[in-house]
Amino acid sequence: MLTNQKQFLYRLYFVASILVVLALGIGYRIFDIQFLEGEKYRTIAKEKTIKNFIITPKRGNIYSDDGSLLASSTTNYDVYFDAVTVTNKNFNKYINPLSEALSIRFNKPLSFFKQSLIDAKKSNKRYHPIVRNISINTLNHIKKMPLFKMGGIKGGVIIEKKNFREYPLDKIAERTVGYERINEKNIYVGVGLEHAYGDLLRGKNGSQLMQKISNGKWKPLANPNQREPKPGLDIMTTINVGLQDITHHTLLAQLEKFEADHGSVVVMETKTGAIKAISNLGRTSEGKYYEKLNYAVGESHEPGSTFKLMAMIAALEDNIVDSSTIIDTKDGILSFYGSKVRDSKKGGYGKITAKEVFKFSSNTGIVDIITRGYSKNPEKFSDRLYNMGLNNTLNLSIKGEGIPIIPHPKDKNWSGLSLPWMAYGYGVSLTPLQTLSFYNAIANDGELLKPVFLNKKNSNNKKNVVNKVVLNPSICSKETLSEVKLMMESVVNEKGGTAYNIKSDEFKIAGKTGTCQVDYNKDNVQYISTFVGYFPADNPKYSCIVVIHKPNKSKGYYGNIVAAPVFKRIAEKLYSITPKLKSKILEEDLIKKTTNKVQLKITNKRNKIENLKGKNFHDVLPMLENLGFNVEHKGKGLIIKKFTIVKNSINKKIVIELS
Amino acid sequence: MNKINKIILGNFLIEEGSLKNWKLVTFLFIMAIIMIFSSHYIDKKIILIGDLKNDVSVLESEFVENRKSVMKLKMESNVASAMKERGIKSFNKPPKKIIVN
Repeated sequence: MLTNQKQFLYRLYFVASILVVLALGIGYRIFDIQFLEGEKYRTIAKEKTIKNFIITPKRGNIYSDDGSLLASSTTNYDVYFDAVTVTNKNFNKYINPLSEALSIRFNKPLSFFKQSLIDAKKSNKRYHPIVRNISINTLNHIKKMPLFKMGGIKGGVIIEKKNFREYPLDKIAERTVGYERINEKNIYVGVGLEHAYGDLLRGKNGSQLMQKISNGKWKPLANPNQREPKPGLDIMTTINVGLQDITHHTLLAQLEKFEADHGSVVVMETKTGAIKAISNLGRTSEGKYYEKLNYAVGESHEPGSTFKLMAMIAALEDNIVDSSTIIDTKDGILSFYGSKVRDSKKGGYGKITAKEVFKFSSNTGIVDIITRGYSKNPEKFSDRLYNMGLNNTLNLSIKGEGIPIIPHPKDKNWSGLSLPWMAYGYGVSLTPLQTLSFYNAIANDGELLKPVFLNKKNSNNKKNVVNKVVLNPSICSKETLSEVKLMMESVVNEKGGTAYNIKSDEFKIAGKTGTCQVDYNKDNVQYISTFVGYFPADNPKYSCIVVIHKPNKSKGYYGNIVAAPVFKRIAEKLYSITPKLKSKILEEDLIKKTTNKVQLKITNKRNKIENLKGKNFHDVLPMLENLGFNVEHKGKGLIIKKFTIVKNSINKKIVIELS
Repeated sequence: MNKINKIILGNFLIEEGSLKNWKLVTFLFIMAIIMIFSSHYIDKKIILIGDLKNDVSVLESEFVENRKSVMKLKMESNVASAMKERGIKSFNKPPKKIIVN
């Protein structure tokens, strides 16, 4: 019995001592974790549960003049597949319908998705990419697909969000809207409006101390250094989406037609300098076009004949000629130090007025005017051009503006050829936007405006207003202005004018063509075709420049053939969407006018309607329909033939032949 | 040691005049409950705010996506190509705006 008790006690001591050793061990570990290595673990714990988050602000949106989105920050999604969490049964059951749904949605073969999913399952991948960078609408479709609709655990779908800058116009005005990013040196780089107004759009980062709570969420903690993020401002641009669309597609069609290297079009509002549309398209090696570079802003090149306007203004201002002065075009050839100036018309234009020199775009004519007036004092010519502000950049908000070149006798490379060459636009260099601004100044009664891209909201009526920036209040005298305006109108509206082919019956266009040689020092001479002008000529609303570089010469290269039709199409579009305001009339007059517009005479006897011949079909159609006729027509235009009336008990049918 | 023993044995809850101690205990208990409740309540709100923020970003994305498609649909080039099959072209002459008194 005693032995038993002793044995029991020994056992008890043994167990107790083990427990004590264990307790001491645990105690030591607690002491170690708490005090010896306490600091280290406390830091790790803090890092895992408390973090200072940098909160990036929402970047501002870019709007067009009518409030359409040009750029907006949004969320896009990447979709991954966790092949481990999906059971084999479900995988085998849904692999085919899922692959089929994916192949239909993403326009790829079914086998592509099927094989990719099988590979992921075989190699037990937990993060297998399915699609990247998809929109919310596409994601919603994916969420409804077989297997994926079972969710994250059963269906194995993993969805990851990421911030995305959406450009709703896609390829249209891509280079003008631009982009911005931070490079490895932490400097913002980019192009277009996104970069030009980056300071406004970016906003300011905020910071917030957060503690991790359940559900993977973080809760904000009070912190004296806390900073709220400041969201970026929205900017309202002057770009008009509708016009931009027309400009883009018209330029694209013309570039494709003439297989040109690149081209640009800019439309500017005359009174404010607001840029309503700007399109720049460059050709890829496959012959496709996209917004490669902002040629209108950055590409400074010899303007060719469009510079004759500047030369003519100088000559008129310095009283070298007036518009009726007779100029001898010297059989179309002038020689300077062995180099020849030629007219595009062989044999020249004979003796013509200064106005006709401009109208026919005579090279020899304009060179004769300028050399006659300035050969003894070429400095005067350059100074005159400088006074008009042609040697200055426009100081555009968009980065990368090309530097204008206007040679001056003080320049080292000035030669005897400089003056005659400058007269018809060689040796000088301007960007399309600089040339357009100058032409816009003519339309705007001499006031040279800076091209602007931003609208501002008027605080009173909330309407968009453009703050115009005047670069030169008057580039020349009123007399010169009215003379060159007539010259520009004659180019389009008078027979023989270089752009007579784009004359419109609806409204007057004023402008100047340009066909400038490039690479003239090489064997293969190429051309730049230009048309620049404004419309309607009697009350200018818009000015526009079209520049097309290196068209296929076999298809055409003259400014009036290649560039001017683009101008006309845009002008027609703008004209047709601007309603003509008719003077106020009384309601009774309106009724009288409408009812009297087309008079139809119906003689009951022979069921015949008279007075239709020669009438416009569109005027007659509603009247006939109102009389209960079912109208059928053949051809287009005016009514030329008598019509037949087929009458039955249900309806009266008319067949009309048109010219 | 004696005092500690008394606290451990809970004498302060049963001896004479223990009512005021009970009041304090009850007060501390209620405070603790309120603290736990409010902490959970805040956590719940934060989770809700997180979910709502997520909803807002989804709705914003949907808005931009839908607005983009509407913009594309109403672009003239798009309408023109759709109408081409039906032989309808855009008119070159402007509409006339008549103001009737």
